[in-house]
Amino acid sequence: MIYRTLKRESMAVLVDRLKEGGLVAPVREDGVVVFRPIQGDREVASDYINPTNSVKDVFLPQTESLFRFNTAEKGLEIEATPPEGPKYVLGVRPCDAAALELLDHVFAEGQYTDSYYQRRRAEVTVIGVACDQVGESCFCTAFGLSPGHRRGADVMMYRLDDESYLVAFEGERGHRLAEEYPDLFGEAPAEETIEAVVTSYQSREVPAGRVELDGITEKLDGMFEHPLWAKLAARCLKCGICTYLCPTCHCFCLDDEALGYEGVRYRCWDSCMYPDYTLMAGGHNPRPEKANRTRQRFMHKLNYFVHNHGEFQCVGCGRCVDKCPVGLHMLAVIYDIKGVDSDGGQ
Amino acid sequence: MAVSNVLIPKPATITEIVDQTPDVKLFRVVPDDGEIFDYRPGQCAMLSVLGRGESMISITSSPVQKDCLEFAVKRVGTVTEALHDAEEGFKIGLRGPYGNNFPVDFMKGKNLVFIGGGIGLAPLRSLINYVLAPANRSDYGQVDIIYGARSPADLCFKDELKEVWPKAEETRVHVTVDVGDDKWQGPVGFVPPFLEEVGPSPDNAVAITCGPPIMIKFVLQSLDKLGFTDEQIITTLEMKMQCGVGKCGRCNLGDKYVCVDGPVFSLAQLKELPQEF
Repeated sequence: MIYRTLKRESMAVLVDRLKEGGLVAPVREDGVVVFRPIQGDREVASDYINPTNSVKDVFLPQTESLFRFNTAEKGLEIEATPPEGPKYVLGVRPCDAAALELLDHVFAEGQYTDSYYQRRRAEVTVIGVACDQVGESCFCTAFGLSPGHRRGADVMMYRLDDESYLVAFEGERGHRLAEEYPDLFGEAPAEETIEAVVTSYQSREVPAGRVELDGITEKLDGMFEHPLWAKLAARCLKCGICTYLCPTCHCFCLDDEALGYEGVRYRCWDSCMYPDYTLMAGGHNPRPEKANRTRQRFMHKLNYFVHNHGEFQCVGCGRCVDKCPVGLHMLAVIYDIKGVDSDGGQ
Repeated sequence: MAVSNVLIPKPATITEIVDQTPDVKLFRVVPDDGEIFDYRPGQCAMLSVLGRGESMISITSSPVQKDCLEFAVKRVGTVTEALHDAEEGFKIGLRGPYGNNFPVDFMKGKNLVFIGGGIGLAPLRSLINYVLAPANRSDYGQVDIIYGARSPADLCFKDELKEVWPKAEETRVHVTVDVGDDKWQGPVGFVPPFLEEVGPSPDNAVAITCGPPIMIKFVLQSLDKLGFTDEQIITTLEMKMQCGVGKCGRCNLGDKYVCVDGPVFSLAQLKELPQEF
């Protein structure tokens, strides 16, 4: 870990240099702040709580080609599509950075790994900006994170004063950035100053994050058949926005698009909240009801994932809280789970 | 720089197509690089018809057969329809093998009772031919194959049912159909009561079953009546799959993914999992 400082006016210079290598950062677009590739004079936004889309988009794109095929003359040629992506992603909040380490459990660990995801993880430097504002929907502290956490980030910036940032560089990718642009970064401040600044962010109050999660996984072990799921699911519109905006949801489908002999196999996001997600060709569907699918989504995040990987599959970013049109979001569901008898009162 | 990914299939050729029933065909497949992957009975592979999509299909050949891979495919959806339209020489994409396998070591020294319905015989056939192979036959006891289909025309693997398996050492084949026809002289009736009629002993035996969900449900009741314990009953599950490697998210039963932790489960294991299949 090394610390440096960055003058606020040097931020624009840093952005200019990073975008030569390929940069994704938050921009204001149609009235919302979203992560987008930065080209030309596009202005990077700084006044946001969290971009509407998550940093997942960089590592597991909404749609990506896996390979191209050609079936001309009754043959078959398959050519892998090299994974595309930026070299840097800037303006990432600590919750989104931490979410990458949860996605790592799925795509970069175990018997099978996904080389496209892994390559992006190896090549993309994640530059975080600690949270000056805490949103009403934020609940990262419920998952052991904080507005100043560094998990999953190669670089984290903290506001030092009105003039400059304190910048923490971690690991190989982080150090490389510090070494690449020595002219931009100034000497580290005194250790007590670093300690004070980082601590002030990491101990920042997150009101919605006070929710207590101890014991919820164990309680859910006995709630598979609970009537709560049907009650919650009744209001679901099956829009899937919870899964698309979630920085930790990773479900995808594979499909082909072909014109004549040529085509592409692409991967795109899918959602466990969609009725045909588990529908088989023969007509059987193991999760035919909204209640089955609502149960799947929340059991996965609060129970199954914990059994498989030892931690919750949520970072409390608050996107589902903000965007679910019917309030069927993680925070509400956690309170509902905590509020019922595990035997359903039967 | 060359890129690779577990989700990218290898080109392979359908070398032979054998009609089984009006809606089931057997496909013999050879990878174009000549390298047939090592697999065990019960495992599956992903077959692609490029431009149409990809489906997880159980490998019905047994590992003792070295010249090709065999898949018995029922025509039910987009990809299987495209496979049925294919001719010999057609190029497909192949990746695998995926999933766990039948517990061939646990079964050693035991009598084996196979109970299949319709296309459900396909995954069982891999194990049957593995067990009946000369190199393995002495490792296993009596083999009973109890099989049924909707009609005589819907019986898969008729040659092996009639000509091959009945002649194998210590092997009995019992076939029933839901509804007979003019020529059918064998038993008529559903698989579960037929299983009770055949009445295999649970002593030192393992039952392996695969078929439509409704058949499996009643077969399990019949096996219970015959005295088989949950540990003695093995089945293999079907689930919607896209990746086959535990990442796309949809084939889970609780914290287990059928594509990597299954498809083979004992009834004892299944009862520990959410009943969502």
